[in-house]
Order: sequence, then C-alpha cells, then structure tokens
Amino acid sequence: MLSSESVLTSFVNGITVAADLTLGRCSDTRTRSAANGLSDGRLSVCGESGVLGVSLAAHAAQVVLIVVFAVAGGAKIVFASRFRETLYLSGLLPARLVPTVRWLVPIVEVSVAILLAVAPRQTFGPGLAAIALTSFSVAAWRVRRTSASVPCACFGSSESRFDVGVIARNAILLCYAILVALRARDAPGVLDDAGRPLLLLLTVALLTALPALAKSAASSWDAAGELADDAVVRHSRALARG
Amino acid sequence: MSGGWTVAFALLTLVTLSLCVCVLALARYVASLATRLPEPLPLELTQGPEVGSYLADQLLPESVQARVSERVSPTARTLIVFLSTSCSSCYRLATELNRFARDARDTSVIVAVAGDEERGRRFENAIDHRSSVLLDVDGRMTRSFGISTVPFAIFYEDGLLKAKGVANTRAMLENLAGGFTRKGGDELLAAFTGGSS
Repeated sequence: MLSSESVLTSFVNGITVAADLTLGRCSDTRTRSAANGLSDGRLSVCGESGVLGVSLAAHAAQVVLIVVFAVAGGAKIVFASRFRETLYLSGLLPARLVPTVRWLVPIVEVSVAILLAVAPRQTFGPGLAAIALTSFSVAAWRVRRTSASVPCACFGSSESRFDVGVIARNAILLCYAILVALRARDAPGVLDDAGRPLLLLLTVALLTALPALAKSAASSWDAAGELADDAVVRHSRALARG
Repeated sequence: MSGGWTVAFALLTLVTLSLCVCVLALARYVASLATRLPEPLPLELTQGPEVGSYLADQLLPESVQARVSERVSPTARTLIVFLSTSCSSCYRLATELNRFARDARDTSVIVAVAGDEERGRRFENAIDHRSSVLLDVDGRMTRSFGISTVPFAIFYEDGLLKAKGVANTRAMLENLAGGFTRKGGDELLAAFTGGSS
C-alpha cells in the first residue's frame, strides 16, 4: 500500500518528467532504459518515472475502456428496446438491419471489454475499441446534422441525446484506445500492479471523469446555442411574467 | 524534486480542491432549485377541438374518421398524440410514448405522424405495438383536428375531450391524462414565436 507521501511524489515526478520530456531534457537512452518502471517502483527525476507515468496512464485507460465498453454493451442488452428505438429513429440503417444490429453492437462492445481484459498485450482489443468509437462518433455526427433530438441510448438511458458531447467523449476514449494500443506490448494484466492500487484507482477515477466532464461541457455548449436563441429568451421572459 | 515544483503542486492541489467544493456547492444549489420547480404541465392552446366536445362530433374527413374510430373505443381512455417528422423534440417524445403506453395500460394511445413518409416509417418502427401509429403524410388528419403546433396531445375519456395541450415529455403526457394543463398557452406561444403564430 502506498503512503500519501509516495503518491504525492509519484504525481510530482510525473509532472516533472512531463516537463523534462517536453523541454527535451531526457535523453532517449535514459528513457528507454526505464522499461517496466511500473513494476519496479524506483522513482528518479527522469526516465523511470516518465515510463511509470505513461504505463500507469495506459493501464488506467485500459481499465476505463473495459468498464465503459462492458457497461455500454450490458446496458444495451438490458435496455434493448431503447437502443432499438434509437436505431429506428436515427435512420442510420435500413429498417431491416435494425433487429440484427441492435444485438450485434452490444455483443461487439462486450467482446471489446473481454478482449481488453483477457488479452492486454494484443493490439486487437484497443484497435477494435478505436474502430467502434470512431463509428459511434460518425453516427452521432450524422444524426446531429439532421437536427433531430434522438436519444443516444449509449448507456441504456434515454436522457442524453446525440450531440457534440457524445463526439467529445468518444474522442477522449479514442485517445485512451490509442494509448493502450501503443503500450499494449508492455501492458500488465488488469489485476496486476497490486502494489499500487491507490495510485491506479486515482488515475482511473481521473480518466473516467475526463470524458464525462468533456461530454457535459460540450453538450452544455451545444445547448447554450439554443438557449441564446432570441425566441427562447422571449419565451423565458414571458414565462417569468406569467 | 525542486522546491518550485513542490509549491506549484501544492497550489494546484489547493485550486483543484477548491474547484471540487465549488462544483459540489453548485450541484447542491441546482438540486435544491430543481426540487422547487413545479410539475411540468402541458400547455393548453385554443387550437384543436374544444375541451368538453365529443370525438363523435368532431368534423373529420371521412377517411380520417374511419382511421380514428376503428382505433378508439367510445368508452375507453384515449390519448391522441400529434407528431411531425420535422419537429426535433417529437423524436424524443416518440421514445417516451412507449414508456407511457406501457404504464398506462387502460389508455389507448394513437400517434399521428405528419411529414415525409420515409421518416414517418422510422416513427412507425420505433413506436411499439402498444400504440397505434397513423402516418399522416399529407398532414390531413392533423389539419382536420385544427392542430398547427406539435407535439400536441388530446385526451378523451368516454369519448369526451378532457384535456389538450402541447406536451414534450412523458410527465406532461401523464398530467394531461390526469386532466392537468397550464392555461394561457396562446400568449406564451405568441411570445415564443414572436407573434408569428
């Protein structure tokens, strides 16, 4: 178990090394010599801690992707009718394909989660995740262009709709998938790295919050355009008078 | 680790914690405001059939009358919802209709979808078997009910029109079926559309 001091030190080292790498202060040799920094626990100003930071981020991103894809796939199976409605209303597919695709998409999502969990050293899992995320973003963009307020049903809920927020969230998750793919060869197992559960947990929490916040911010930005519409302002003023 | 980085990190941590507190305080503020908001009521407009009129007295073209009467029992509770393929919020309401029809089993739900046929078919496919969907491609049915604003719902009980109004959400539909509407909708609609409608 890590003490709070070592957690603090790790984060500060991460920042320091990020700055060093950005400013070109770390030599290639030192950076390369620091492979497997995640498991050996040595923290120097440059080198090992940089690799540690990247490995930790990749490991956390992998966990986030597993959870996101498992939850999204599971929710689409549990709330199958909502996903069916979305597929029909969005008009993304010919109606005859909907009965197949409504089950195919959640199966693919759950498969991605399983692949990421059981074969962390293969690029196939993150690659498939990246393809899925790109497809979802293209679909969201196409639906948004029609101006129809179609519920997204991304996680089973019909509360959120296809908007820029979905695209922003997927873009961040896509970055995670790329990071995981690039680090796949050195990736630890999902339950490895037992020596650093707190640090991993904190990073997972941060990486989970990031796409969620980006989605909220982008959706609010999108909705703000509607709220700033003159007609809506007049309507709100009339409501206040009424 | 240099002293400068430690100070910067400590400051960053403080700023982050302060921001977290601000976000929590804002969330609490919004939540307490939300609990004080009134129930969303459908907005009653003068357009459409008169409240208290009978469906049987409605002067509908023969073809529309036939399509409606074959789906409406004179002794049942019936909700007729008018949607349009060009109305953004109608897509969301279409999905809510399935949940409404599932919960309100004593109410027959009829959905009239005006607009182009291809998009109308999407509504027809998305709305499940608990509701009847009528594709109103030429808008004849919507016009014959005197409705020009969508999504609009009218609620009949024993053939008598109990309530009508613009309903955007499932909660609004439930209130409409309970006979609750917000009066004075025409002024609000005029303010909303800048007096053009």
